[in-house]
Amino acid sequence: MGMIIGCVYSSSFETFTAFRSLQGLFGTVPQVVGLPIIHDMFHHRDWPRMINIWGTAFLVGPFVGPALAGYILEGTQKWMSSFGVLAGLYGASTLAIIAFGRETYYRKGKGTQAAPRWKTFFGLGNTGTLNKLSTIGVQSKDLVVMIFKLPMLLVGTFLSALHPNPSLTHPRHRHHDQLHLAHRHHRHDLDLPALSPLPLQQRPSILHALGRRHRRPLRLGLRLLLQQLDLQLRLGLGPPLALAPRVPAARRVGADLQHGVRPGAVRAHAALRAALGGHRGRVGARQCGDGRDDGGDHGVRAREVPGPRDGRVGDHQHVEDVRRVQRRLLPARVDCEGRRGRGVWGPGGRGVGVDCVVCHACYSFGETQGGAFGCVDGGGERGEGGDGLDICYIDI
Amino acid sequence: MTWGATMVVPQSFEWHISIDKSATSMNYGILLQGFGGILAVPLIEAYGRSASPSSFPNPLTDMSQSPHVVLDAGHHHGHDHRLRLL
Repeated sequence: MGMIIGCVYSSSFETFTAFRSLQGLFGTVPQVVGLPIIHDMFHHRDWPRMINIWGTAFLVGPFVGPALAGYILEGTQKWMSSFGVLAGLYGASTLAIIAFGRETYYRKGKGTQAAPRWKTFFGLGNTGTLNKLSTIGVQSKDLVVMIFKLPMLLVGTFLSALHPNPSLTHPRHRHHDQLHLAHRHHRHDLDLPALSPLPLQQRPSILHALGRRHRRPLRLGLRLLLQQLDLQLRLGLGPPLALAPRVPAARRVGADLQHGVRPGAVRAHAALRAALGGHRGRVGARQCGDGRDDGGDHGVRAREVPGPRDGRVGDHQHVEDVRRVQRRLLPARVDCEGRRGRGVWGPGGRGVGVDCVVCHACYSFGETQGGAFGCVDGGGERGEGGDGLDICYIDI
Repeated sequence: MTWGATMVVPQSFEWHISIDKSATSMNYGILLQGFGGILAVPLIEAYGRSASPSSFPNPLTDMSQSPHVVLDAGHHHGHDHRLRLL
């Protein structure tokens, strides 16, 4: 680190503010990167759990941080030591990343995960042959479009309205506080003018103090609420926290079928038909050969997990029917010509079988346990390869 | 960022300024937190994840944690009344 790091000694409030601002600018990057890493590393079934674990740090941090810093201040009587400890924490996490961290970005066929480890820390070769400039362009455009959508703007407006104004307290109270604190910190050398005792009723009320103390949690709670609302709005008031797409998976599967299917899918389709016997509904299958989630212990890709969509939502009998069809299909064990993939995190699965049966009529879905339903578990968390069936849909 | 929120009072003594003024040291930082995150997203997508929180300054993304460490060290030595670059 020595080659670049200039150690900066801020001499004044202005310098301190400047560096504090830069801390704000750079400090969010490690926070932003967390979600993509979870996306890279885990199957979508694990996302809620992992995001919660990760998110807990952000919820706890703003409360524990200042408290810890306060205790350190109490102990050492120097505010610098608080920042010193914080610098130490960052240093420790940085060292941990250097020691154990590795790039998680993976895109099939893009030559990722090939760069030497030291290069990845400089952003070299992490994304393989991905076109960097166009990616930045597309991502920036998406961001701008998203930010200027109405729900997002509303959240922004609310948040700025909620931002606390530090100069709300009465100047006399502030002065009183300052004197009090100067006394506590044994700063008798400070040249603060004497203060006439304030009438009791002019001190902030308990309610007011409570309000101030609870402003942060209140703001946080409201922000979460608004985020949830925003999500709901954008998803057309779908199920809470649903990350499901607007286009039902089965419809997309149908579209895929029309665009030519590889032999594996045809065979699987025939096997499905045979297993279903006299089933009269439409039966479809799609061969899934790409996608970073193939292999391993799962076959359903994140963007294709369908959710209950229409009037039959909550129809338990119907969902039970779907499950029954699944159970009937179980012995069929459609084993496609999957090759054993190289795998990034381990050896990949050898061909994903039927993993998810979707009722074509209402998109009710019953998802089977990974591995149990035709999927050969290769023991890899995210293996490459696995040509097989991803989703089957049936009219039930 | 919130870590230093409770430090504004001792800092006001340090630099002989009012608590209000001292509290403004966090303003821009908090504002820039938002912009920093927004700026980081396309870069993370284009150059990978490990470039961002690495301990090295990334010539491409320039978004490393190391300035963070430096800045905190800067705060740590804030009582020294001079600006020094090593």
